[in-house]
Amino acid sequence: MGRDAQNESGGKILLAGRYQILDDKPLSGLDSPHAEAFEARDLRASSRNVFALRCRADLQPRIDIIPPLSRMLRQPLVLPVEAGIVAWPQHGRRFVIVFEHDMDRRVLTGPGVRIAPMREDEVIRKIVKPLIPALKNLAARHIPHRAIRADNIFYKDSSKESVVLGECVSAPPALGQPGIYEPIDGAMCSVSSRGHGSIADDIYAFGVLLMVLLNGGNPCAGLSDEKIVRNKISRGSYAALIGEARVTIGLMEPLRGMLCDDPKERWTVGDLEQWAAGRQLSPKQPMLPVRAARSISFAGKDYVNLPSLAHAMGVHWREAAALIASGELENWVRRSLSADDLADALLQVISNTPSRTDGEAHLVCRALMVLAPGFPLQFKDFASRIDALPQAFAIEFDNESRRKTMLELFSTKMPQTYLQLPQASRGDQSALMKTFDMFSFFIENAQLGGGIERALYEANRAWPCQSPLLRDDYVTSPADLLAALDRLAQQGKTDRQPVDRHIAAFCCARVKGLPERIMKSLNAHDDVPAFRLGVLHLLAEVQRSDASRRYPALSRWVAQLMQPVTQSYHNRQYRGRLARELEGISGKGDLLELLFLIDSMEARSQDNKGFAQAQREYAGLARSVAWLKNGGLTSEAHVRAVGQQGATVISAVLSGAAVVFMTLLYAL
Amino acid sequence: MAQKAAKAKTRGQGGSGRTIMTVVLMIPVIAVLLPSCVVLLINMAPTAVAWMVDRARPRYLAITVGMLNFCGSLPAEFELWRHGQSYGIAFEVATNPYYWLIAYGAAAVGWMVYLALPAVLRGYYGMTTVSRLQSLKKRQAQVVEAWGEEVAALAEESSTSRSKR
Repeated sequence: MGRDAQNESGGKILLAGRYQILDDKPLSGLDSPHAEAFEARDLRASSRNVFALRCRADLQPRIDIIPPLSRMLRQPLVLPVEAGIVAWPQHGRRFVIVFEHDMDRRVLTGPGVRIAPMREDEVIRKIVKPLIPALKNLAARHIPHRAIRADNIFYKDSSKESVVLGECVSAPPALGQPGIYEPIDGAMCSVSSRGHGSIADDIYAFGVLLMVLLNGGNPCAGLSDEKIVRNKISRGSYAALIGEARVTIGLMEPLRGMLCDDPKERWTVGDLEQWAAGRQLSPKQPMLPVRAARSISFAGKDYVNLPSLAHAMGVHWREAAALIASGELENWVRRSLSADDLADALLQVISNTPSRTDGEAHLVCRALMVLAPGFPLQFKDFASRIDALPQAFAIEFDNESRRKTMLELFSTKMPQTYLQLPQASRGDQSALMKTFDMFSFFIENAQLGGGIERALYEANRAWPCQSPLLRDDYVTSPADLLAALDRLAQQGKTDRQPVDRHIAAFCCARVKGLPERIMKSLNAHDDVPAFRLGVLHLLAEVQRSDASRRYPALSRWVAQLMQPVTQSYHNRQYRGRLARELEGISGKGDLLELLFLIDSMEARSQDNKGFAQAQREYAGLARSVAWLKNGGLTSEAHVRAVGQQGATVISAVLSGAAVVFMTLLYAL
Repeated sequence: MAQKAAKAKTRGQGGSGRTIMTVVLMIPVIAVLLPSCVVLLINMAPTAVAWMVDRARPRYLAITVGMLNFCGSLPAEFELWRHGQSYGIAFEVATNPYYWLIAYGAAAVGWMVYLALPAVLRGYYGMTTVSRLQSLKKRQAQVVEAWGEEVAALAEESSTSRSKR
């Protein structure tokens, strides 16, 4: 991957010095939900067809899977060939991915579009068989595609006899997936919080894709996401999606297998491959929830099974709190479901949840953990797979109400509670626990370099810096940050400080071993020189990681900001000299040199000592002045005392002289 | 405590003992030099007056007048000793206005020095104060120029605390 991609060169947008992107030629037909497509050219192989996707600046593309995907040659996949950051006119610096363009039109041009239903044999011949190798390869590399849907597959050529799978790297996993393509737990989640997912999720989405093509469009068109999920829970995904369509027994077998709601029982790529090779596998029976002896009325509807009710409670959480608090739910669970253990656990949750003004959401969240194990974590109007929380936090960071909800979720340690449930046991449990503890810590520690911004960057290691200063840039590494700030300085956009909450948190998360005193300086809100020095220190430490690069414009910007620091020295002469030297070396672009000059311990110590000495001298002078002004010399007492003593001395001298004179006179 | 009291008592006894010893030793000297002492006593009358007038300690007036008065008395003493130190000569010398003039004139000079010097010093100190104030303020300005107005903070602080006290 061309991480150090080239930027504009002579008006052209060049990626890695090889791929020219034509920003005036958009390819709307190849747009992804979160990326715009443009024509591109491979300057080294003019016959090669490529196109480019310009990713959103506020989202992190799946950078980690671009290299392995680009090596999956001769697979029915739209392959990324190069990726990197380019300077895009009027859009700042953006992440761009170049793909091979070896495909024809989309099979379905949009999620709501209808086409002529495909015949079963067509589905098997054109869709299933060509895509199995791609699914197999992805599974072998443990790369969930998470963008398998009817509007993301393309005919391979104009004959429309085969298809290729569209791209999946331009946005976080499953961010562009309609809920229908997600298994029950994924569909219950907010779009941002479905997470990395698994190959089983891909298999499910592939099953839904086949259903859509057999139906000629979305089989659940017109139904809300909530209704679709309710149907899937109550009737099983296969029954909920099949609708009125008729499927032969031959295709029913793989569809039931792929749409099995228990991921452990769901077909694997191997099962699909065996079926495609002609082997008969036992059809999966839908695993429907236990039906209650009598229904329970909730939010205007009657529910006869617990999972459907739990889903509805998650959606209507305020009414759910009232239902739980009334004891009606516990009675229904005990009597109609005959689940005494569950009812006792519910009672325990009620008694253990502290009664606070904001306790309703906590009560419902805890109750749903008990009532619906396997469901995502549901808190207020937000639901998320447990492993998707860090990424969801990043995606929803600018959504104030959602961010507030998530902060409440983290601060009440609900994710940790969820992870401690027996059914939530998983391989990455300790890592997740550590991540959520980190969230709790940084949410409470709101100082510059910490806070929610730090949690964002710690939990999402490749997430671009979201500082408002860098709105026109794409910064994923400390070196990128300094280069971006240098560009800002070159453009004269220096009206703000070069370090804000996002940048401080980003640096702390990405640069290890930053001295603690930097954070202390940055959080010295009332001490402007200390803060400014902290800014320089932080940026200098970032530069230390790649000391070979120079940032002259940034250096001059920071040097200008150092005026309060130079003013903090007492000695006027040294201030002047320091300012001149700062100006002199700022052009070199070496922030470390700047720091060493302005933050010299020896100079500071000498200045302080000299100042203390000068203070004492001044005080002594002031005392002398006061003494003189108060008549120290001219006071009557002083004059009299000195006069008396002086008269005595004069008398003694005269007497001595007279005695000597008379002695000599009489002696001679 | 008792030891201290005993020591003080011993010291007191020692002091008065020394005075008695001095008086005892001086009696033969006075007896032998009685004419000289009479002449000296008469000529040193201004010193006695100064001694009585000057209530301060140390008695600078008496010392100042006394030293010059003593010098002024020496010509009379020398005259007495030159003629054999008899009572008759002592009477002549003691009644000679010339010697009075010398002794009392010298005492008067001492007295005048004592009285005039403060006035002279007052004028001198007035001028010195002005010049030293200028010099000190100039140095203060130099310190402020080199270190800024903050350098005066300590002085202001101490002056404030002094004024509060």
